[in-house]
Amino acid sequence: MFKKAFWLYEHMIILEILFNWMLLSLLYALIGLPMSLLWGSTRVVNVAQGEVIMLGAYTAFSLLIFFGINPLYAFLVCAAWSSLLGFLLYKGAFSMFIFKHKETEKSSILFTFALSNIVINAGLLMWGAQLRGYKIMTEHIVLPGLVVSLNRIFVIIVCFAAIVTILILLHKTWFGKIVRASIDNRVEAQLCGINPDVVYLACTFISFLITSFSGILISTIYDISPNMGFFYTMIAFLVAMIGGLGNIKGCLVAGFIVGFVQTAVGYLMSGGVALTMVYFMFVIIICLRPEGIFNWAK
Amino acid sequence: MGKVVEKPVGSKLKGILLIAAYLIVFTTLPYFVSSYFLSFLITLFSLVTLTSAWYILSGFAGYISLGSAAFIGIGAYVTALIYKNVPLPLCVLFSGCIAGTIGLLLGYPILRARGPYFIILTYGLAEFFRNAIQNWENLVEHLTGHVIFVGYLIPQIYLSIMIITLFITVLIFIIKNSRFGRGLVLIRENEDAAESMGVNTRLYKSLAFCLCGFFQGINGGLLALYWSYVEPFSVFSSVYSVEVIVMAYLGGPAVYGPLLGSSVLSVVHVLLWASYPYFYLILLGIILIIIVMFFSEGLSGVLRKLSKNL
Amino acid sequence: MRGNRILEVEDLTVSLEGKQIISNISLWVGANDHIVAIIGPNGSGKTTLLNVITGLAVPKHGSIRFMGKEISGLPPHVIRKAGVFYCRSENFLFENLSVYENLELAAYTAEARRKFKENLEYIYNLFPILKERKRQRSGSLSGGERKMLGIAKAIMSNTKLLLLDEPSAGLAPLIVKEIFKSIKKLACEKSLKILVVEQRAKDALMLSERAYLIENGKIICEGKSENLIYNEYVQKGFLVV
Repeated sequence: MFKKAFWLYEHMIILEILFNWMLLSLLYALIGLPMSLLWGSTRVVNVAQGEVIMLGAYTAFSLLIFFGINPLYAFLVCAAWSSLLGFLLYKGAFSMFIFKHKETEKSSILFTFALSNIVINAGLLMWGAQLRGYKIMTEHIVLPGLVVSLNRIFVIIVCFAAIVTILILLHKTWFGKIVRASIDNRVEAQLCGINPDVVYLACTFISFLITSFSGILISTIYDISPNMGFFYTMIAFLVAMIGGLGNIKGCLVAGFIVGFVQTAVGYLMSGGVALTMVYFMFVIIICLRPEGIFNWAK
Repeated sequence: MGKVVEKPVGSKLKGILLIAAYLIVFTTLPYFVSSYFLSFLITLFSLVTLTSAWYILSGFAGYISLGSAAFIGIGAYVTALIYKNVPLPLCVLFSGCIAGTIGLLLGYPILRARGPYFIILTYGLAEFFRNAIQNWENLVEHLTGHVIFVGYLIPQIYLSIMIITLFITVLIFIIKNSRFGRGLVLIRENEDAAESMGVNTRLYKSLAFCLCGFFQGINGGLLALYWSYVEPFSVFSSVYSVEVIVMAYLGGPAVYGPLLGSSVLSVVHVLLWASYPYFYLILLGIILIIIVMFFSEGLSGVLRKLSKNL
Repeated sequence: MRGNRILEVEDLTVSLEGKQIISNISLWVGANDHIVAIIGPNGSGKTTLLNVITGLAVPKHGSIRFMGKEISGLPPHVIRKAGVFYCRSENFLFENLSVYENLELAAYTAEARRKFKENLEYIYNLFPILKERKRQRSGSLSGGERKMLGIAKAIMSNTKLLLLDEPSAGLAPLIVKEIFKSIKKLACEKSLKILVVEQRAKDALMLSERAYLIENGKIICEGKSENLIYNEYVQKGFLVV
């Protein structure tokens, strides 16, 4: 294994590795963010997050294949349906779990589990199980020691921009302060006059919006299928738990950790083993410290 | 402080009569029905067993598992690997033992996770096993999947699963009234309080998980023989996990819940699974949603309310 | 509003998880009061009483009127906006937010925001250490500093009625004196009414003009504080003095 590592370094693949690490890290951080935000603020766990990602991916794909529209317009389409979906789910189910059920997490897990099941099978019915894909922005940029395609740079930039936007929203705005307060101490926030319903609805919106966007981004660089969602749901859990529920900065760091593990194991051994490693991390983290490694010092 | 539990002789007699009737009916039935009905019965018994096994940990102790496919897959794989060298009944039994042992060993670390964390963990568990086994097979054997050449086994499979179903159903009723069962229920109500009352929560939970694994593993072994083909995607399929949880929740929290839920849904299964698998799974999802939102006590809750009003 | 009563609790009964915590309690805070105390031992239902008034719990029956309007059963954020601020004894800070952010959030309502700068000056004078630590994460403050922040939040809330739950809990006697001094100052300088719930009978009675004695969820005595000091229950020390 060390011989191989040295070989990789010698052949200047190190830059390529770093680039891929950066890509995975930001992408995973973006995927973990909605889970961390939603779970941290409302205690609603969205097991169907991977399926929302899948729907976002298929939105982009369908726009190109069936309508001949540049898949980047998918951002607008996704903004529309994800907002509506978030609103309906919140009013129809999540608010019941939050305010009326004793165990919000358990009810929401079962509900979204059932939902994800429905969406996956509906997707299999509509599109079949095979992998589909499309190619955009495949022009290559040649840098010293590194050749990257434009779509990957695009994903990195958008992920970074989205994460920074959310961080600014949370830490530099009045609204963000209210959300952070609600995450920190739900009861005290209400005692200060903050209406929890508004905060939770907003968090649901943001969560679904970002999730659908991440689906679009994934579709630009990977192939898609109705079964793609499960893996990303696992990533969302892993990143959110390592970073700490409700801790978005932690999410970013967690993204880099998971990205590192997958990239390193992927290059040193194989992609398949890397996936198993990620699942293994998932199991370990839940057993040991699901509240997050970074939760003492936010 | 002894609490004497009154067990009138009548109810024990009733139980023995029921068991006898069950045995008589189901051993003679195969001679009178079509093979199609027979395979329906196999499916029915299989689902009852799986859901009842699930109930041992998730129903009594409240540790909801979304990962039934894990033990089923393990059981199937063990059988597939050793069927050539071991007489088949022992094969299946051994599958159950291996699955149960894994449940016991894994249980200690895994069951540290509480509530929603445990549920999510089990959600990823089956996939973790599938992934690991698939990688192993790719790396080491360069092929995935095993074919099992054993010939026509339907009668034996039927007999085995029928007896196992009887066994686990009786077991659940026994557990309910035992110290073990009461301990598990205490864990569900308030784990810390149970711990301080002297209940060895780690042992009980792991034991329950072990039993669940044992029976689901046996079932997996029988399924391997039934399908004659074992490969990671099919035996660790999430369909099993979904079916078990929907049947469990449909039945409700009562001890006879798994029986109720799986009986009802196995009918739906045989009607839809062969021709419209996707619709069947979508329907399962819809049922679960309705139950979570409106009927948290499932059918057993409905029955209880009805019997109160009568 | 009967005879200018800011807060009127009438025949209140509260059950939690099957147990009846509060039974048929009636009390009031009037326009002429500054500080009213509710004194009772552990488990007498004092905190539950405050929880119900502020909307964190729902009563089985009874009425709670604030400024003449019925508030029982309303959600906490609505009651806060009506003019009631609850300073709890535990878990009353946003641990991961800074001292300054905690103060900002306490001044969430429109009327509090209007007087924000003025009140901020006031508390920085009262508790200079809070000004020093304003950017510090409030979870890292010491016990006494946290209580100061709690009182500071109450001041920033610019509210009409302030409910204080055991402000002296867990504090050394000297700091308790300081805290109570600032509470008294608060009631006089800012025109707000304070309802204090306490275990320390003597301190609470010296702080307030009127008081209620509560035990096992029932009011056993009420009256002017200066008279209640001679009450047999207080003297016999069934309450922590």
